[in-house]
Amino acid sequence: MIKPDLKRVILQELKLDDWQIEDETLAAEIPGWDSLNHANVIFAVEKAFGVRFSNMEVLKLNKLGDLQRLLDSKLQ
Amino acid sequence: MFVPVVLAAYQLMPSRWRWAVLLSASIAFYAALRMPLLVVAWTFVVFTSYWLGGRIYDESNAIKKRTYLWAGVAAQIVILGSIKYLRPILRLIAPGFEIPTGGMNWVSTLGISYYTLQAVSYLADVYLGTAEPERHLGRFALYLGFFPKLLQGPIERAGDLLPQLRSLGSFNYPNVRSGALLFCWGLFKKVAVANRLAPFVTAVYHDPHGYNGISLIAATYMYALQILADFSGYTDMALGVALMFNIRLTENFKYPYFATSIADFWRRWHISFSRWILDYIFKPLQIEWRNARTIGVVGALMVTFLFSGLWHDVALTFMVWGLLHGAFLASSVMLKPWRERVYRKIGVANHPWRPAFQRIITFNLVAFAWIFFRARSIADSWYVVTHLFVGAATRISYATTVRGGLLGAILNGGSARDFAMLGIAMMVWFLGSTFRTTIKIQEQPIWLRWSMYYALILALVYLNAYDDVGFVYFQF
Amino acid sequence: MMSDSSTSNFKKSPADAKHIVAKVVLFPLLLYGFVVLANTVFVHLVDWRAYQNPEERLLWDLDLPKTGLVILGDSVFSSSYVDSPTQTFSFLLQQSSGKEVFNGALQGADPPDYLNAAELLTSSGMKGATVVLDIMPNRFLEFNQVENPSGNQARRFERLLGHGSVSSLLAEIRRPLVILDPEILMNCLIRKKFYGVDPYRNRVWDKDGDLAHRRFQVFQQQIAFGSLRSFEWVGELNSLLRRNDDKLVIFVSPVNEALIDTYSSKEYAARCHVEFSKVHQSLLTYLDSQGIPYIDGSNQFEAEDFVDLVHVNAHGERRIAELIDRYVTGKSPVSASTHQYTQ
Repeated sequence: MIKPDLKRVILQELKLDDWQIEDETLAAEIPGWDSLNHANVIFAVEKAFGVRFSNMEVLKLNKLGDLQRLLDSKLQ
Repeated sequence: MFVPVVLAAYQLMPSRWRWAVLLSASIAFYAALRMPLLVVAWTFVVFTSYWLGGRIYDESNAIKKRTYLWAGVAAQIVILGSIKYLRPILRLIAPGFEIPTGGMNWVSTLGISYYTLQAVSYLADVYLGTAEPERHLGRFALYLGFFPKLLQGPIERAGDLLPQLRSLGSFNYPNVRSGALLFCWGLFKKVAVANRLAPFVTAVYHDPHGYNGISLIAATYMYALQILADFSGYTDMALGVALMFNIRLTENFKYPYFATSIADFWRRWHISFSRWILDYIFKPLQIEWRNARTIGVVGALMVTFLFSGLWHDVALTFMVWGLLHGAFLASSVMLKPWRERVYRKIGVANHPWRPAFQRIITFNLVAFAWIFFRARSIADSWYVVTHLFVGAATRISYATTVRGGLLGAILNGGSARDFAMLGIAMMVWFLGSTFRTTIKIQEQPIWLRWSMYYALILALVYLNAYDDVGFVYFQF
Repeated sequence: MMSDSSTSNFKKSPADAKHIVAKVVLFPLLLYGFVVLANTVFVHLVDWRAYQNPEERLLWDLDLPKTGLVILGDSVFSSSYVDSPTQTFSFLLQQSSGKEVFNGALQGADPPDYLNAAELLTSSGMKGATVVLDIMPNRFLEFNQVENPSGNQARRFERLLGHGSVSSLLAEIRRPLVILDPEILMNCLIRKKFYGVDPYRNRVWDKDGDLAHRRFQVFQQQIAFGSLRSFEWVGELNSLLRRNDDKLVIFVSPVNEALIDTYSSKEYAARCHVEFSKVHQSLLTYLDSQGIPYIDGSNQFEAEDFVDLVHVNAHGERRIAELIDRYVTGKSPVSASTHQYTQ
């Protein structure tokens, strides 16, 4: 499940009004989230929640659900 | 010739040993080039990445894992560098110094640029956990050395190719048929289109000072088409042959000149390579530098494309080519916020002609960059760039008028016939590409299918051009 | 993905396998059938030989029995500067001598091409023929351009005869099917003329534009007086032909001295004459030492016979035919004259 606050940060960064974001969604399926923008979105998430991911952790991200889980682990 | 024999042998073997047939065929194929140094290098690549792949996966200590990874990457770079770049680099920094080459020329680098990159991708994927290491040495060697893709790629990912190698199917007639057709189509693109474009391009680019602006522009556009026909032709041949063995290699080209932006172009051109630099150079750098936001992205782009240029060859022209593409992408990234706003203000943001306009711009940017890719020196490329719009010919060298293959001569009727044949070849190319997307050949009635096969064969017979231009991308 | 664990290779029924084999066999046969049919119609309707590139005759008609005179050489013997085939020396020679004359000269050919051609001819049954080869003396002067070791016509040989076993076989199959040759088709379509088409037409060097002058300028740039190139290949060619009972006769072709005098300074012209004289002498000496008969064409031509420095026009072609005819019918002994140019 993608929590609403994470979803909000993503939508804001990508300048989208709304989009279907689920656990299984891939970044490439979300408009505007291409490889050029990828780091920006990650950075925005980091800033919004005051966390820092390691490079390895980011590189291993596959689906949006992975991002949510990674974020949750950092917030504990 | 080679392929039917291997196919037959492949068929006769029980499935447990099919990999061995393919592997020995691949080694024989590579050895037939008579550059033993390359076979040695390949063996080295196979053994190091095989062993390190296993160690990376088994090792639980994070630091040791990383060390193995970097050791593996370093090993590949060293091999690639010493085989391919030692001479050019030395020539660049110490022009007088000649190392004994033992008869090595550009032929000596066939394949190495490709499987070393593939080995690095394998090690990285194992490290990141996106792929499991291959424990079977023979299959792993085949993964790196499968003969259809050995010389010019595509660069395959572990996740794509290894599973296929684990279940090598038996004779599949539809696949053999499609594979043979694809092979012939690729062959056509290479010998009928690329080879026919080549003399015109060569005539101009080997003597740019002898030609006027129009000729320079025309030759550049022709080169853009030549390199596409050449490389996508090779790729089709590779994919076709692989398909005959029920193996699907990755698509390398997807109508690249229909791209609507440079970023889109790189998603359509030499896809396996651009995905490689994306995943293994750009992404890590971009994430490392994410604090710097846009500057970080720009930096990552420039480094990535500098690498791309240098990978093709260690020469100033290729570096410029790479950096140009990097600059295109960087400026696109930097201008993005304003661009959309401006378009919306002018009111063209959703104009129906916008994609066409974007395609034209993109194609011209790419063609412009190709100038540096093709020119034989920075001086030449600079000359071309500064004289693209210069008018009448100043002086046409004697040699070219006699040869009769130049554009000026075309306009005077000299080699009109060659030009006409080229035109026909290009029409066939266009028609064929259209058919490929719109018609499912295998679903047509047999008389129609066979007619199309016959048409292709006759096109090959009538339009092929004898030339030892070689595959353009062979040199990389 | 289908995985076959058994040793049987065709999981399909034997009927399917037969079906596939039938298709694989039928496919090429049907195509071949179509092409043969089309070819027969084509050959029947079109006189393709009339539009055939005269230079390719050597390669197309390789299999024709050659018992008379076979002409080999480069552009000097290519008869390019005439307005119709009836003006070529080989045609005239055939008329006057009554012997069958086959002209296999190739424009721009170099010694490796001659050897190649000779090998092909001998291996396709040429026996007891007389082979007349032209040698222009300046061939042995040093040029700034390096000779291609495989010859200048290698590509043409390859195109029509293949190289390597597979392509040669394919070429053999293809050769009778003239409809498959794009050059022939194209030539027939546009009714290509090989004779009398600018610049390849009957012309005289000093009365027709500056072609001769321009060419001479290139010649001056390219030539390097000094050492001479090797004569060895002539001996090689001779041995090759001897082995098959063929006889080699060298035609020492003339040089347009008047042109040299007109287009260069006195000193340069004098130098040229001396050098050409030297070459000429060395060549004849070599031929004598090897026992190779020759027809010395130098000094047998007038200025009006030439198109440029070495090529002849229709007038010159008549002279060539005359000289060879005299030799062949035994009316004149081998000419051994050498002309000493006054300095």
